[in-house]
Amino acid sequence: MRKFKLAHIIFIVAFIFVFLLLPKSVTTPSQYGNTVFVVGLGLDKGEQQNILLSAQIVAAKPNAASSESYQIVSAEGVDLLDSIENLRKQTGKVLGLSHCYVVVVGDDICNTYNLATLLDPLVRTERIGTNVILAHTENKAQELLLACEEIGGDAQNVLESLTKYNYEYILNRDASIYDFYKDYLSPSSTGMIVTINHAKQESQSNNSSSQQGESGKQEQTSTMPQNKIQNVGKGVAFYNGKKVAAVPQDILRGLGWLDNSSRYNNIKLEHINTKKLKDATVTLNQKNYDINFKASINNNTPTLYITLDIKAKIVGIESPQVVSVSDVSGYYDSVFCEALQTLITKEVDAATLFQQENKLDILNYYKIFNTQLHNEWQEYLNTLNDKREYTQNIQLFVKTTLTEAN
Amino acid sequence: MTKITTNQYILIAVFCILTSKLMTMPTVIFNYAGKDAVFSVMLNIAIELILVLLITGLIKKYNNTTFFELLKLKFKKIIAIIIASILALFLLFKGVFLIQETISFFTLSLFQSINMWLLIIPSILTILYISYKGLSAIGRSIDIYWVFVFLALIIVFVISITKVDFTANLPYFENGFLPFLTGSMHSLFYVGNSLILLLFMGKVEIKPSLFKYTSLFSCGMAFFATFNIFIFYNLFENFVPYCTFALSNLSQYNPFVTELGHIGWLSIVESTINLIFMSSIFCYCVRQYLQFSFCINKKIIAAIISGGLYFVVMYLFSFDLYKMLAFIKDYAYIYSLVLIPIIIILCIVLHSTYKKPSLTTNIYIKGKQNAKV
Repeated sequence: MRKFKLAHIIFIVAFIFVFLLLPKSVTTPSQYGNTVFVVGLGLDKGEQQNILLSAQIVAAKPNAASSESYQIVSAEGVDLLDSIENLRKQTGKVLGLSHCYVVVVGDDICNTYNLATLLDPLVRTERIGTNVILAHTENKAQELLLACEEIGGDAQNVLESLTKYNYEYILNRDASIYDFYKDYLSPSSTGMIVTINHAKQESQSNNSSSQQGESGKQEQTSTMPQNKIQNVGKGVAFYNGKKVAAVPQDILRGLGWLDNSSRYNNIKLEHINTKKLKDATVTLNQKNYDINFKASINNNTPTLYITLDIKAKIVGIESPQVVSVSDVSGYYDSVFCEALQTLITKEVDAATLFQQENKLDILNYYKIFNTQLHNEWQEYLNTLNDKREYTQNIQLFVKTTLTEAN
Repeated sequence: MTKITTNQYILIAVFCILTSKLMTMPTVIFNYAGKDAVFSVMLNIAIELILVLLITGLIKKYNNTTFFELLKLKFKKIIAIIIASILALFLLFKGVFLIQETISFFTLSLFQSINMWLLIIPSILTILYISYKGLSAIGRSIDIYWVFVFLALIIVFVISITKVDFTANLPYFENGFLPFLTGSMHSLFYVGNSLILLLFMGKVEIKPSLFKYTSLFSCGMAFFATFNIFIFYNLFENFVPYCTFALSNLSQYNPFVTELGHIGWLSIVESTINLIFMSSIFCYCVRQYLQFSFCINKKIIAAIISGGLYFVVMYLFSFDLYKMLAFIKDYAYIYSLVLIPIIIILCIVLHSTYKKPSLTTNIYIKGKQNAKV
């Protein structure tokens, strides 16, 4: 008996402690009772330089086991933490950020605030996931969240795929808040986030993000105004956390050629003349993409030699000579490669000019030079009055090879 | 005397390499070493590996003598107690740090609001109970749980490797070797988990393959842990200082993770193992020390005192991980800087003074030479 007591004394003590703590556990509301679950956050400029924080929260609803409904709540504050605190006062509950996967920033707030400073509390807390999407909208972020809600989805479902994919590119750019901070903390301090816009449309569209109703049914009336949310391939460039310029579609396309994570779904080559084709438009589907950078500094001019190896399949030819579009395999010609080289050079040159004008290094060329030619690069930087000047001096030479994919 | 099997010993040795290396250590090192942090990690894990191998060699040689008995035999009792005290203080603080790290991980990243005592009290009581039950309980538990830990690590490794750019932190040693050495030095407290193996001396069933497999699996785990941290550094680059818990961030950082659902549970598995097993082993070692130095015969009293000591040290740091981290980075590493070379020298001395039993074998029981065979 004595042995039994000694052996289990710890359990007896444990029970005593549990009973001591139990009254507090019973009277304290459960974590689910005093927490609202946030699925998306929107940041806009409020009145008098305040921050307007909007949160898409999961609304409590009876019989909502299979489908959840959401609502938007908003509050203003002098900074993000103050806005969160005011939102907590407004809802009477703690904001649970563990399910928040999207943060949308409105254009007005990007123009006014340093985004890196503004979002700092979000990345320092361990309560928010590490893979949160950061998107920009030309309108109000609150409106975009409302549009997501009207479509019937949570912000994550609607915006996640849109930030990475759009009608033309596949995997446009890494778009998480962590990627933004990685760029911000990199030596070039330059980053870019994707723009997602929404608009009301009269007719029903086939866009995947705008077709689902709350219950998953297709809307029948074609004249009813509908929300259309889309990524048309625009972005916003930041330097040191501050917005520098909006990146237009064609520039983003040019940058995309030089970014390893970008993939072009369809490449259109126009005015192609070969032995078999006259003034044809050829559509290639990119299957494989390999990019190599070789850095060099000649006569105090940093130069990047870029080799693009593209494997693509012909998926369409628009030409009077082609009778059947189903069999296009025999039409491949080396002229395609030349046309592709011209197209890429043109688009890359436009993107380079844009970067030079705005002193931007969106694709982090700094890192390539620093890795490949560390000492020479540091010596070169020491010759500059302003360290950002290098962005204006970099020359790019792109060489493209095209192989037909099976 | 209760003995653990060779397999259980190997698993404990492997856990010594892994424990606490994937939580706060990578960030602490990065704060000093910057992009060269991975080399500091390599150095730290290499020191841990050397300790494991040296101690395993000793265990194989002195298979009938416990560590404290061996100290008494080789040195004077007072010196033995001093060495044991230095070691016990280190193990006590390491155990406390492990619990604090795990509790903070739960309170900071898992729960929105939780009564801290609901984690602290059950944790200390569990540890106290396991340390009281002794080696067989620890060995059997590790037999079951090692699968989950390895599975968690492999999943994290596989999902992270698809996204990593291995050139992200190049070039290394931009500012010479000083940052890398500073990083390693200030994080030396994280090294030395394997010192618990000293207290397993004489309590392991010795098979001829013990040393071979311990070295093999420990090297494998050392490589695996280093590679995981290397991936972490390359994924997060300059963002590392923002990430307090490496494994927690690593397990969530992937586009398809949000599509599949959370796999943050992987870090929970690792943390729980840290909490329950490694802290318990540290507590068990402290208990052993108390019994040896203060001649406490009753296990339960020694276990309660060691649990109480855990609580007191946690209280001194106000149950705050960041206070403890500051202490580790600024002061505790000096203790490790002294202790680890002493232990390495001690192991080498014990290795060199070992005499192979030939026809006449000394049998030592409870520190006294009992018979000659």
